[in-house]
Amino acid sequence: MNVITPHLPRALIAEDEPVLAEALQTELAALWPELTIAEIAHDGASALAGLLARQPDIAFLDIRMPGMSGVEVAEAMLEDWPDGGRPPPAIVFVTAYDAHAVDAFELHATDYLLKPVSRDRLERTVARLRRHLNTAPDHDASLEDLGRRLGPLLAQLQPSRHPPPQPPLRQITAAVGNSVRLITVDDVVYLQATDKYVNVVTATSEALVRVSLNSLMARLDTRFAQIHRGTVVNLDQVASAERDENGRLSLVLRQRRERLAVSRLYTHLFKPM
Amino acid sequence: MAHAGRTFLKPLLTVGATTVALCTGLAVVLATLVPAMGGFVITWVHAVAIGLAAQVFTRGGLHAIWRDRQPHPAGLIALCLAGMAAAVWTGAHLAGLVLGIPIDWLTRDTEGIRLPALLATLAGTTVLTGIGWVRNHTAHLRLLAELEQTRAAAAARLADEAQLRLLRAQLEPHMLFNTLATLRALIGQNPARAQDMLDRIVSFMRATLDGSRTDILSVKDEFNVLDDYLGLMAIRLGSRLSYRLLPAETALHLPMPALLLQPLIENAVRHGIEPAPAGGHIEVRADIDAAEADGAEGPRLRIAVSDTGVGFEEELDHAAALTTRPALRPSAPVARPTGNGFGLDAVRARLGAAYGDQATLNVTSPWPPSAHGGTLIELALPIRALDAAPATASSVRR
Repeated sequence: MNVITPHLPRALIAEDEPVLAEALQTELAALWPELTIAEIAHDGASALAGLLARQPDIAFLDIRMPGMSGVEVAEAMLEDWPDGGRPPPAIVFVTAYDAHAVDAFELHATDYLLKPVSRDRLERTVARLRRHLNTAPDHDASLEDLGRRLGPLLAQLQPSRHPPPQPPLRQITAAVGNSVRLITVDDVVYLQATDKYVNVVTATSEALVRVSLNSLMARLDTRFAQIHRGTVVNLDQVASAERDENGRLSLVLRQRRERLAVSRLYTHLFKPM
Repeated sequence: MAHAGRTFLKPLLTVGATTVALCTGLAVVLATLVPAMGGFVITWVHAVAIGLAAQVFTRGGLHAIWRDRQPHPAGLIALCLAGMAAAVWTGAHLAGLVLGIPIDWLTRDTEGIRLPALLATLAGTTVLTGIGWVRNHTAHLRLLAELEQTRAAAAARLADEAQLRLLRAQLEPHMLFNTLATLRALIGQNPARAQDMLDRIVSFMRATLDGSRTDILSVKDEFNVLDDYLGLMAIRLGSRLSYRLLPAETALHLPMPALLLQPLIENAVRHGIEPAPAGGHIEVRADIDAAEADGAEGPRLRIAVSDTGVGFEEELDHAAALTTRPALRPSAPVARPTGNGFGLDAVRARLGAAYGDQATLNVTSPWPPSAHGGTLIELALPIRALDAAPATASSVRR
């Protein structure tokens, strides 16, 4: 897997404040002349698109960005990263302040920077990144490693992803035309987040409800598990988990024909005992 | 229950004791001046009986007719006269019963007792009613003063809270460190802009600290603070934030609660512009509205804060849970969720404390109505009430 090609490192900077993005670019140019800045993104969605399109070696991700946070960008990147090919970039999170996050960064991020970034601190980050790139990271190992790191970071930095548990729902109410349908939670096979809605899928029907997947998830019991950033499945409805030739995991359902993709972040749920 | 009984009994005993004391005095005078009365004991029993009966009739009547409302003066006099007549008749019969003597003086006034007795009753009732009225009136005045003091204290407390919130906003770590990071970057990139930014930081911080010494700012000064804040944010957000401040010339000198608009602007930036990848535009206007449509309340200071950011149409569910004060007549019961726990509710509370129900705050989102996002917040503050508010507050303190 280790194809050693002499190749100049490339980085992507995701930072919504233009002055700060430019400053980081300038200071990196002084400290690490051979590093190319492949792209500067000013919001979460374009950062994700840029990462997947350009596949840089390094990503500087600001935590607070419009659209998606830096950690969510990393999560989506991990889930959508193409099989084979290049390993995912080393991620350096950048934040002005996150009271409880520094410990999490310390443990789970490749590196992190606190704004304002001093020259000394940036120098140490550059040294660490150079060492990291020299070890020529393996594609699969890097993805697995990133998956292991991101879980705790998401839990720590995205409290909205883990709202306090509430009394479990018995029914989900969905507006269908002029009437409201009551869907018993037991009948739900899976939930799929779309743009502003959640699609509630049973064996025989689908219905859209206008809530966020996270807030709905908080009201479901332990039969329901997240398997992708946009999918929650009822484990009672899962027949088997199967791996394709690329090692991607998908779920075969008891009462539906379609298969559900399991993201790299959640494959550990389906390991044999 | 025992406590309620006691509080009910105590004023009753006080009234009884006052009445007996006053009637005793009257009896002494009457027995000395009019020997035909038949001595002190007979006079005293009559006086006390009539006096207590008068209290029962007038107070009972007062309670039965007006309950807790303020009685009409003419009605009060009529009640006293009727109560007195009834009291003389009842009291005389009661005294006759107690003493075992005939009450023929009521019908046949041979000894000339009737006139002095009636005069004495009249004097006694007048004095008693007078005492009661004076006490009620002073209690009423004291209550008014206390009410005014509470209102002034609440307004002062809310101004303090607004102050504290602003200080916290300045020191909010994200705002602070991001601002410092931008400043550090600009020192290298563009020293002139770095200086401009530092000037704004200093000016904004000074305004915040000065705000703690005054509850009222002119529209002009208030808009200067907004300009400093928005200027800082515009440097940070670059092309994603543009803004315009448009206070009308005629409104510049008008007073308004200090830093009232700051939380609204902060909301517009944090929850309107920052989450929108394309950014947006913020506009703040102030002018005088001479003809108020729904009442002759005089001219009003009208302030409109609008942004073209995310809007909170998507947060309707969340906002429905937020309470809105009916006195402030919100046009739509929606409120942008406030990350720091302040925001709209705090502004409403301050308006209520400064103006009672005279001020209005309306929120419209999306704005304009055909758009997907955007928010308009309109405030209308009575100009006259604003001038009067600090005067009454200080007169109470004096």
